[in-house]
Amino acid sequence: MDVVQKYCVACHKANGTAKNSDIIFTRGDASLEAANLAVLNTFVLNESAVRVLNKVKGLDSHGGGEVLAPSNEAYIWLANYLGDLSGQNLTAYAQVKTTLTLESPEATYRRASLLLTGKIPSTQKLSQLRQASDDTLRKSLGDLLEEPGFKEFIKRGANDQLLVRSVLVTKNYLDDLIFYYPIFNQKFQSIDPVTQLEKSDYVYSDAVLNEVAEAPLELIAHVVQNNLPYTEVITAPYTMVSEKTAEIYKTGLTPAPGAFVPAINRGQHISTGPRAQPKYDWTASQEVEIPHAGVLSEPAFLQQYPTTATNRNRARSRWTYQHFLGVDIENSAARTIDSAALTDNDNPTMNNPACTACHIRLDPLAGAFQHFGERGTFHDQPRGLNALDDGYRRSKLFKAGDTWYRDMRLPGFEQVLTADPLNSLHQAAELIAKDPRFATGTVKFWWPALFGESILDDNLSSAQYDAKLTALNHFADYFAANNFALKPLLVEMLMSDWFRGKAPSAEATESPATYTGGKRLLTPEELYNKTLDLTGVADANLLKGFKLSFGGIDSVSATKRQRDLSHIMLRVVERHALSKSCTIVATEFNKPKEERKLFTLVERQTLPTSAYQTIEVFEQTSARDLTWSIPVVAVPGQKINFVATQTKLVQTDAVLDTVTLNQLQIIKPDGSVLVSGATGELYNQYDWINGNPLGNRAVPFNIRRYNALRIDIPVDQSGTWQIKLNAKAQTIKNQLEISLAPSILIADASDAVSQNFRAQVAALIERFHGKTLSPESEEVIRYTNLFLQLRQNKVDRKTGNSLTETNVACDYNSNGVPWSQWAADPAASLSAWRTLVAALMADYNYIYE
Amino acid sequence: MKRRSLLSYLGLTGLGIALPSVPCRVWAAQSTAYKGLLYINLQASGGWDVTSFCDPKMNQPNEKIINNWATTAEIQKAGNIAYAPVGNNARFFKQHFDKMLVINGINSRTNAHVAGRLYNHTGSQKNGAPHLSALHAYANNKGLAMPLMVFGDSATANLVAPTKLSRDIFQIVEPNVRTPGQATQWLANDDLAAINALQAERANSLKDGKLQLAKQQQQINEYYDSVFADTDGFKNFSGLYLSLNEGEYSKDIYTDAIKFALTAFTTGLGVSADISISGFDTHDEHDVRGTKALDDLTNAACILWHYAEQLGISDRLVVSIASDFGRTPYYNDGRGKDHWTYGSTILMQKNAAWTNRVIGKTTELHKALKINPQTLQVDPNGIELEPSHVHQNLRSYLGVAANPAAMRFKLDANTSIDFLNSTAQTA
Repeated sequence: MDVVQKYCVACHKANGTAKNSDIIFTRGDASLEAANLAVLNTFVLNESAVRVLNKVKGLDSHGGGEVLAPSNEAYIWLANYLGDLSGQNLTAYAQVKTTLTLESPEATYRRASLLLTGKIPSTQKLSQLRQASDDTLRKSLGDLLEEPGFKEFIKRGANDQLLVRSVLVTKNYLDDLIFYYPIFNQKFQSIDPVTQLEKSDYVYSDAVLNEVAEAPLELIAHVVQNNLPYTEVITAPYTMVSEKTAEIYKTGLTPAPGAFVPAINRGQHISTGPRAQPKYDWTASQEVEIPHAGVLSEPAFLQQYPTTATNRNRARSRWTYQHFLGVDIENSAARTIDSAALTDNDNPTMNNPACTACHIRLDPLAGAFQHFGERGTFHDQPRGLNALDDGYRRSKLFKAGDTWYRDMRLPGFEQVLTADPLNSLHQAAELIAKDPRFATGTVKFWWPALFGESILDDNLSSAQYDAKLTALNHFADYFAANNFALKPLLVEMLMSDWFRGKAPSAEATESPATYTGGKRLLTPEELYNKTLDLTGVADANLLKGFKLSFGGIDSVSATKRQRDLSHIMLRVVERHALSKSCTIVATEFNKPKEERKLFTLVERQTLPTSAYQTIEVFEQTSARDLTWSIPVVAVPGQKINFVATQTKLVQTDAVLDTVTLNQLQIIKPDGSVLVSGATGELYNQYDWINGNPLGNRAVPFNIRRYNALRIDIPVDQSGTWQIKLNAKAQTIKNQLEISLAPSILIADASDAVSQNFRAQVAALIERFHGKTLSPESEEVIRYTNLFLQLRQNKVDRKTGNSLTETNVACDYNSNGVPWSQWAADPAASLSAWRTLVAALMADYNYIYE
Repeated sequence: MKRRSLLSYLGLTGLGIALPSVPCRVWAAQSTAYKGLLYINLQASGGWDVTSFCDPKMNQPNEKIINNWATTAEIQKAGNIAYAPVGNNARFFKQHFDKMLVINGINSRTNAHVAGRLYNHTGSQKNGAPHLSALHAYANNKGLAMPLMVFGDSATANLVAPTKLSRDIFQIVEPNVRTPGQATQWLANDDLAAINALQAERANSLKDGKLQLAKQQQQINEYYDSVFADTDGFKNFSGLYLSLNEGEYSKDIYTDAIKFALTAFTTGLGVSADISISGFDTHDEHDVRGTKALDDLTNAACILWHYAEQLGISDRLVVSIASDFGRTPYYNDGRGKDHWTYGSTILMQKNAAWTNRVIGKTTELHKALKINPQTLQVDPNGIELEPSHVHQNLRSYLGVAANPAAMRFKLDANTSIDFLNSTAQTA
């Protein structure tokens, strides 16, 4: 029975890990089928068919975990067989649906854009893709790879694997630059004219090391962006130089600072004398042209895996296998545990079978690196003839002209020796590029950059592993068929279910456990990019102090990204949100609406439900009828707050600034009149009509600067209320300042102002979370209610009409604009927006894309 | 391609915790009731030279020089513990011999770094096995905010999401405080409470949501666990952290990480930590570089106990010090020492009956001697000690041996050997 032999007997046998279970099969050929079937039948008839089916799919504490996914044909076969055997109705098991729904094209485009370019696409672009066909989506994704931000994705993804940026931290290559590069040496170390002492320019050396670190990443980016076969990352007969290295390497080129171009390194000197380092006598040295082999000959790559007299480039070989062929040499064969083998010191890597299993492959490729010394400098030994260590050169094994160890396998790759000794690395690279594993190796290399995980790892279930292996081979074949161009491979991955998988389909009865697709936690760099692109505000802490705490790497002590959210990582998110939200809101509301990124539908005084302030200027001294309207939702305790005042002295003679309030009328939505009469008499009659008339005399009701009429109209009807006032100014240009607002704001009011407000909230959710919601949706109303709660918090705190408060920071650079202007928050709306933005940024949907 | 180890992905991932019936953000709840053992593993990363540390070797006639220090100095002893008079070893051994169980002659069964780290820090040779620190954190994680803290790298088998310790992590202890120790905040407290309430609402709605893809479900679980972690301990964290002094010891990146971890232990935020100290892979200039690395290690170990005393948790701490493997009992041509399968492990606890002892033995040329598992004496018919034996004891001692996660990652030890319920030493 194929199912038993293929899936069960590895553990369920007499000496297997399930030897104590109730089902023990016998491993072997087809002749054992009947016996094994009898074992299964006996168990099922005495115990339970359901128990078998549950265990096989990983339930009931099955020690072997999930062996078969319910969607697997073998599982379905087993369910049918056991159903027939037991007479039970197991059709549900045999018909398990685990289909998948994919996210929409615009959701895929949005996520891909952030990961690949650091940008969130505009709403217009996303809406264009809403119903896009696969072909259109594929083309659009391909266009993303032409964006400027794509280069940083390539470099970051490559460094995640190669860790070449470690040279910036360790500065391991500094000594080699000093000792072997005369131009560097001259610029780095000079004699101070005053003290006559030697001084070192570490600003210069750091800049050079930065170019050295970036060179292999720039090389990969150059190959990818120019659609060259990806094999060129290891076969390239050039390096990449920028402003300083172009000079140090004597290229004759003058790239601009920050720009990298291909070049050949002819700037290193090798000794022609008895000392290894030319620095001691540059006249006893000569230039050399480095035999480049793409990334493999880059100093930043070589110093990441420094060699020693005993290591002999084996680390470089091991990691070349890992990075470019996806082969983990350490796990490629059973490791010996024999103590004698492990302590054998009679050249065991050549002679001891326990060691040669791996070293037969490891050591020839190590030999291909023969010309590069301890930290990657070419022929760094005396007379510039080789890179062999001192102890070996003094041994009896060494012969003049040797460049490799005679007690090691000859340089090459797998079974093929490299013919040209001086170009052994380049030749090995050519062989690696032709190896069929190069394609799978490339897929393994780039998978984590998109998916935040390794494509294959030890914690996958058997079913997941098989599915991922199938995917790996598919993508590798696709890559090879597209002339090893990386861009089409990336697009193919983005178009796949692995990236676009959103959820089990509606009819699914179980989650398709083989799929691990969909959104993933953003890295510190991606979170930084998202906030910067959406808001224009940068949080450098994400790239520096908090980077490691949010799962980032420094290429030295932290070399693997943490992809699973921990509580402390959530605190980093909160810190990011809390510290930047005020800057974001202040920046937005201090720009004209047309220049804003986020708050394009509201102003700082806009609130849910109508509320406004207005100034009535009197152009004549005759009495005027003024009318104001406001729609209000009636809820218990609801009032309309109406204030008519003057706060500004218009006339130089205060007496002339007087405005007399004559008749007042308040009309309900149904047209009935609540009150009507002389303002002063109504003031005396109703306790909800208040204020401070001039001279404390209500009749006539006069107001001048700082006098006011304040009314809290009790509301018992929903709809549009009207306030009518007949007023007369003493002189022209007198003014009346009116503010009108409901005392209790409602999140789901139906008036136009409220709908517009919620449209703004929905727009924010779309930008920050990628969800397109109706302004009437539950989530939008929830956030609107949050806004109201936050606004009320601000009002209750009684901390004034400003965005800032005592002991509450706001790191906004106003560029000289007075605080009274940029922080003005008369409606307490900016304070609420600030916290609402922080809430959006601290949400699950912000940090997973 | 080899068949992968079969793990229940859905069963083991999800960081399952016992949920309160009405979950809420625990801002003001009482700190965790966990009063059990706290565990720290100090990794001497790269393979350490124990012949210059806890298994000291003098040079032998007609043999290659094992140690240059042995040409002018003699092996020293603190209590029952022999040590090499190198660097600051004397301070470490003299101050803490009474807390130590030294296990010598441990065969790591490999000379490869990855395999060596795997075996020595997990007790298992199976790829994907978790460090003991992760097992301990998993077994005792009742909604802790930082169950496992890691400086460097660790292996968790997805049992817990580790907290990565970094230089600036202290600033994240109170995200709403602009500068630690000062009053200025980013938001008013009532506004912050509103955000936290929304986070809790979101976490609950995600958790109660529909059927998800496996990865999405794991992410939802992680977010939920992060939102509802017991954070009460953060209230006193900053004050406690800032109150600690370094005494006579040096402050560096390792001591900062240890200080953070121990403060977290004290305030009920975590129970386990893995601290990696680098510099031990001394293929060249061993005497200089190896001594520097040992000094970093002993300084870290000494300050660990110094902080623990100040915090009042020294009685609950169990410390292990281990490495990938050992280093050759001879120098190479670059004045370095290469990989050597035999090494040691040191276990530490205060006031334990099993301390001030040495178990296991190596020859004068640093090869392991077989040990009788019952008497712990050298016995040619005995067994070679391996990391699995160490972890067999540690798992039992920490109370995690019967945990389902431990059962899934069984140890390879075929023989049971008890180090911790004995007072015997290897003669």
